[in-house]
Order: sequence, then structure tokens, then C-alpha cells
Amino acid sequence: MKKLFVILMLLIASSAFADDNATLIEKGNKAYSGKFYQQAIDCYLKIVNSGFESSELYYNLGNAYFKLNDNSSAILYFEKAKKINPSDEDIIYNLKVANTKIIDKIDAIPDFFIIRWYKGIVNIFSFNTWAILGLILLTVFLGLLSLYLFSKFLRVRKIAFWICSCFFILTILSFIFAQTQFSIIHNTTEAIIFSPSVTAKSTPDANSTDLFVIHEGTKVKVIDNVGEWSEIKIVNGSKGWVNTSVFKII
Amino acid sequence: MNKVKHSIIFFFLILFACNIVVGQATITATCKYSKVPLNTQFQITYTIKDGNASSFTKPSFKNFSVTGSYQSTTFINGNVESSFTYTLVPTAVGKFTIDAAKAKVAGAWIESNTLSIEVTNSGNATASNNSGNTSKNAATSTNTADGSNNDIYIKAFVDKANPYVGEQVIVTYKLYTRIPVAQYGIDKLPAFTGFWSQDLNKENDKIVQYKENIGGSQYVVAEIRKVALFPQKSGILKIDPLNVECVVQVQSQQKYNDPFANFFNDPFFGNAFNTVSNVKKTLVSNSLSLVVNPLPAANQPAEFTSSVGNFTLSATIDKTEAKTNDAINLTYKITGVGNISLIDKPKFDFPTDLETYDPDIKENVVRTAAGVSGSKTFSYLIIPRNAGEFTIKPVNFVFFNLATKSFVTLSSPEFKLKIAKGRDDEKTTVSSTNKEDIKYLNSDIRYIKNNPILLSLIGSCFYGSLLFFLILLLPILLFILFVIIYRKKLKENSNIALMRNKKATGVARKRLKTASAFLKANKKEPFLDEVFKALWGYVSDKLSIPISDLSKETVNEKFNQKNVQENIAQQFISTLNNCEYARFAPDDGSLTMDGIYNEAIDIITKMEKELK
Repeated sequence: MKKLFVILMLLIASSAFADDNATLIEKGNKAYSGKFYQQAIDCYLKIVNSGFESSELYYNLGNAYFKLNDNSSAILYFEKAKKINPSDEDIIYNLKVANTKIIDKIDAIPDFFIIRWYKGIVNIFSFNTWAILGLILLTVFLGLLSLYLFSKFLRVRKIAFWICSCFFILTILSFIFAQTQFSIIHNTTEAIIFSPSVTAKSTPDANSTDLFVIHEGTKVKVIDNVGEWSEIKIVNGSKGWVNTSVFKII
Repeated sequence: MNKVKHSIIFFFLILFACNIVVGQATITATCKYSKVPLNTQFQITYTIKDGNASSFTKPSFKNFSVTGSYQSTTFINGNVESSFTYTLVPTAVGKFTIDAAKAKVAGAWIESNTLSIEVTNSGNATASNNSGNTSKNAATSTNTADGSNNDIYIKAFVDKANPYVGEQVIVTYKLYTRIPVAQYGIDKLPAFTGFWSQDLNKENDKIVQYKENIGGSQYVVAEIRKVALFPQKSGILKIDPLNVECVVQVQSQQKYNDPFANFFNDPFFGNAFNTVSNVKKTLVSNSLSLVVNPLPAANQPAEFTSSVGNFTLSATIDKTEAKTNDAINLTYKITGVGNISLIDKPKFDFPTDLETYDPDIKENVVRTAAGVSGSKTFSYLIIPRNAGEFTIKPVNFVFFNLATKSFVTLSSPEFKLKIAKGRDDEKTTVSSTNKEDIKYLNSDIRYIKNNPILLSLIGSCFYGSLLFFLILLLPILLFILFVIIYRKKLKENSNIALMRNKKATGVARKRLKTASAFLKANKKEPFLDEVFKALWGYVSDKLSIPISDLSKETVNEKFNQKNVQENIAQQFISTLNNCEYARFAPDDGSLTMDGIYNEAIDIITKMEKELK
């Protein structure tokens, strides 16, 4: 109940700020179209710093950073945008373009084709969209179920049974997809390297063996944290320890 | 040695001609040096005085190799003095004694003194004091090629020591000589690392020669090589020395202040008395260091590549109006002084509908002593493939002007082309195979999203939130509620129907019993009423039809649904009809009360079986 109250309060507060943020976005977009990219970034960041986000906002931020040749920041914000909206074509395209500008070219280990297809389906919608879809499907399913159970007409009941079964499967799938994506996003911490050149070490110690060198803009997975050190994994599967200050979490 | 013999014969001829009486003859060996570095030339002279030698035997010169020899004869106050000079090069290190030479004078052999010479690994030749008792009073020796570099050497000069990157520097190699040079050949040209070099000497160029007075001596100076260098990087760049191999003519001239001697010194006798020998010599020039200044980084245009000097640009096109598939020529020419060969081809941004090929590049470089100049021409062949109006955008050429120390940007004019449709154009546009793929010119990110943005709080997500679970529970709860209520109602309904079904037969029997009582009392009206009610009530209860809905049609429909046999259904309806008919029709005996009664019992029994 307390949580609900807080959310309610925040919603009221956000509506009060909404006007302000809308003008900030408009200002930012205008600055961007006038090629004043730094001003655009300032406007967008003001909104982010006030505690709001949206995939479009992150996308615009990434664009502005890209125009300033700050590829690491551009990739960071494109990735943030993609996290919220994994199926947006523009985000995927711009992220791809930004990734062509970075130094490291690491060959990713390809997933097994079934897993790749599964991820492809899961990433059609964001988990929130999947959740809403699941709720709608559930409602339809229950409606059809009652029709099946209580209809006096045999034919209606027959048809209702089959449609109802389909909706049941779709409902379950929607929730599974939502949960899959949710866990992929929330259980894996990804980060973008910001230091121009980083040497990954074999242990969380500056004097340990150098394993490999990565450069700014590269996406890594953060697996573990020990003090100032983080264990990272790059897409080809290599792992190493780097200082926590060299990357920013997506 | 043939030459020596020849000379000796000549020598005797002269002696005969002079007819000079010989006194006590002596032979002395002299050498200017007692210490000689290895591989350095030096000379030993044997002088025979007061006598004419009929034969001369040179010593063996062990550990030395003889590279040249000559002899001369002079007359001093009627005395004959002849000398044999050998040019030697030590072949081993150590202290050596050169044996005595022998000469046969007036039938008797005389021997010279021996010489001891120390050969060192390096260092300068040291003058000796064991030169014997030779009279040096009158002779000034101008012996040559004995290791000193003063007579012939090569020096390299640059016209500027602090050039800019790409600025032309001319290196001149000058040969300074005081002795005749028979021939020379450049052993190897330096690598000129860090430079782009251009040889300025042509095959048949005459070598510039002039005389120069250096330190009181007259030298002949020949500019044997001129190279234009263009430094490619800033910093200190070294120019390696040039190696020249030359053959010099070594002469020994002994001048005497004696008219008689001068007589023999004239060109006619020069050949007879001043013997010339060819000596090979390797000359190495000095190496040079240049401090190359970088070009100013400020205001350096992006298009600048490496051109330094002074250039002009001209770009022309032969036609601006053409038909498709006609050839158009575009000429782009850069003329000027500087590293013209290094100019890259211009980066024309041709519209994709114009087909272009790699340009035909012509270079006309003039290499003179003043440096490299010339022109470079790029000829483009353009074939328009589609009709329309096209613009060839200007191309910039940037160079660093050394005179003003600034970057200069030259632009080619903008060309506007009007292309009309050619004859075979229709064919190409109709054919589907000639359709073009979309050409991607550049890649850039897509534009920002301008549509209204719906912001949400960072970290808040609908899935997994309280709201989500509430919404999830809502339809489920509603469904359960609906099921419970519906079930309850259904139960109630089905109970009533079941009861009625079970009681139906009983009720019908009861009614028929009262009907049989009325039959016995022969009361026709109440009898028929009871039978009628019994039949209707029975179907109403049995088939769960509300009394208000009762009609023959609904009953028939229900029978159909329950799969009641056609004849039984028919019988039931006919019994009902008979009952109705008997009520209103006159008693004609065809429809007796007994008959109706039996019929009713019969149909209810049959129904009972059928509806079980």
C-alpha cells in the first residue's frame, strides 16, 4: 500500500514536471537540428538527471554524442535505448553505425540457431509490451473459457474450446517471453568501455599478467566485482579483470 | 716495364748526343717518409749523379706493391742526373727495409743505400730524416697522389640548410682538383633516406666547370652531380656521402731555374721527361645534415597533402552540353615549381549517373639546375549514362607557398552539364536488366525522433510491478466469481428440473386416476380436462418447458432435440388433438372416453420409455 502511494505521488509529481520536460525535449531537438549538439545533450541530460527515461530520449542523446564523435557515449545511450525498446529499427541501425567507428572488432561466438531464433522472437517487443500483451490474452482466454464451459450450444462450445486453447498457449508464451527478457536485462550487467585503452588482467591486481587489450566503445559484460576491480567478459568469451572506473554501466 | 725499357733506350740516346764525360758516379735512395700508414701511396726516388747508368736494377720491394713508376733525366752544369721514381703501396704492417738498387755506370755496378720504412695501421705519413744525402737545393717536388686529399676532393653543398617539409633543396657535388682527371664514375648515389629525390643531371649534360682559388691554390671545380631533394619529414635528416671513383693522372715535374731545364719542360719534351701514370682513387664527399622545419600546423587546410612550392591550377571541360553516351573530356592541370610528381589525382565527386574512369595522367617535369618544375595533367573521360542536369563540384588543390609562408587553396571551377537523351536511350531504360541498384553514397546515423516522447521514471517497469500483478489477478478473480455464481444458479435450476422430471410420471398418474373416477361417474367435461392437464403437465415437467411456453410446436421441437421417435411424437400430438376434439365435438361414439383414457395411458407409458 505504501509503495502504491509512493508511485501515485510520483505520478502526480511527474505530471507537474511533464510540461517542463516537454519543453526541454523540444529545446534539445531544436538544438540538434541546428547542429548545436552539445546544447542538445545538455537539454536531454537535464531530463535524465531529473529521473526520467525513455528509449527515444536515449536514442536522441546517442545521436547527439555520435555527431560530436564521442562514440563511447553514443553507444552507451543507444544501448540504453535498445534495452527499453529492443525492436526499434532506428536504434538498431544507429547502434550498428556507431559500432563501425570503434577500434575493437571482436568476433562474437554465434548462438545455437534455435537460441538465436528464440532471442529474435523474444526481442520483438520489450518485456513491458509482452506483459501487457499477456494480460490482454489472458482476459480473452478466460472469456472464451467461460463461453466453453457454460454455453448451451454444442457448436459454440466446440469452437470456443479450440480458440480458447490457442489463447491459453499464447498467454503462457507472452509471459515466458516477458520473463526471459526481463531476466536477460536485469540479471546481466553490461557496460561500455570509456578509457581509450584498457588492459585486462588475470586477477584483480595491477601487477598480474596482462591478458588482452580493449579500446573505448567496446561492450562488455560485468560478471563480478571485487573492490575497485570488475571481472568483465567480452563477446568472444574472453574474461579479465579491469578497474571499475574504465567503463560505464548501460 | 716495357715503358721503362723504352725510356732507358731514349735515355742513352740523349747521353750519346750530349757526349758528356762521367766523373765518380753515385746512387742514392730517398723517401720523404719513414712511417707510412697501410694502403697509402708513397714514393721512393733513386737518383744517379755524375754518371750515366747503362742498366738499372730496382730492388725487390718486398711487402710493397708498385703502382707506378717514372724516370727523368736532368742536366745540371753539364752533369747528368737521372732519377727513377717508384710509387709504392705497403701491403703489410711492420718495419721493413728496402734493399739497395743497383746501377751499372761506366761498366761498374754501384749500389744505393737501403731504406727502412715502418708501416702502421693508420695515421699520417711521417716525414723521414733518412733521406740520404740527396741534393734538394734546386728541386721543388710537386709529387702527387701520395695520400693527401688536398689535390683532389669532393664536397657537397646544399642551397638551403633549413628547408620546410616538401621544399626543394638542391644538393650540388663539386669536384675540386689541381691535377688532371682522366675519368670519373659515380660509384653509388646516396640513398637519400627521408627525401624524395630527383636527379637534375641529364645524360648528355655538359658538366659545369670553372676555376676557383682556394687558400692560394688554383683549383678546377666541376659540378659533377646535382640532385633536387624534397624532405618528406621534419627533423634532422642526414644526406649520406657520395662515393666517386676517379682515375687521376699523376705527373712529376721538377722545375729548375735553369733555361736548359726549361727547354725540356716545354710541351714537346714534356712527354719525354715528365712521365704520366694513371692512379685510381676513391673519393668520398662530406655528409650533410639538414634541419627540416615542419609546415605550420595552424590554418592547414584539410585537403593539403604534400605539395610545396608555387603552383597554378587550370581545369577545363570540352563540352557542357552533350547527349547520353557521348564522351566528355575534363582536363585538370597543375603547373608550377615544386614537387610536382607527388601531386595526387584530384578527388572529383562525380555524380553517379556519369560514368568515369581513372584519369590519364601526364607529367611534364623540367629538371634544370635551378630545380624541378613542370606540369601534371589529369585527363578524365566522362560518359553520361542518363539524361539530366549534373553538376561537377569544384575540387580544391592546396599547396604551401614558400614565398609567403602560407597555405594557398586553388579551386577548379564548377561545371554544369546538360545531358540530353541520346538515340539508344530508350532501349536502355526499357530493359529491366539495366535497372540500377540504389547506390549508397555515405552512411550516417538516422535522424533523432521528433514525435512526442512518453517519459517514465528511471528504474520503474510495469512488468513485475504491483500494478501488473493487480491487473493479472483481476480477470482471474472475475472469472472465478463468474464461475461460482453461474454454477450456483445452474445448480438451482437443474434441481428444479430434475425434481419435476422425477415427479412427472407420478403427477400424470394422479391426474389420470382422478380422470378414471370422472370416467366412472360419466362426467365427460372434468374427465377430458384432467386428461388434458395430465398430458401437458407431463411433457412440461419431463422436457423442462415452462407452462407459458407450452404449445404443440415447442413440444415437437423438444421431441426432435431429445431424439424421440417420430411415430411416438405423432401419437402424443394426435392424443392431444383427440382430447381437444372430444371436448368440443358432439358425442358420436367414435371418440369414447374409454378410448381416450386408454390412449393417454398408452402414450405416457411409451413416453416414459422413450425419455428415460
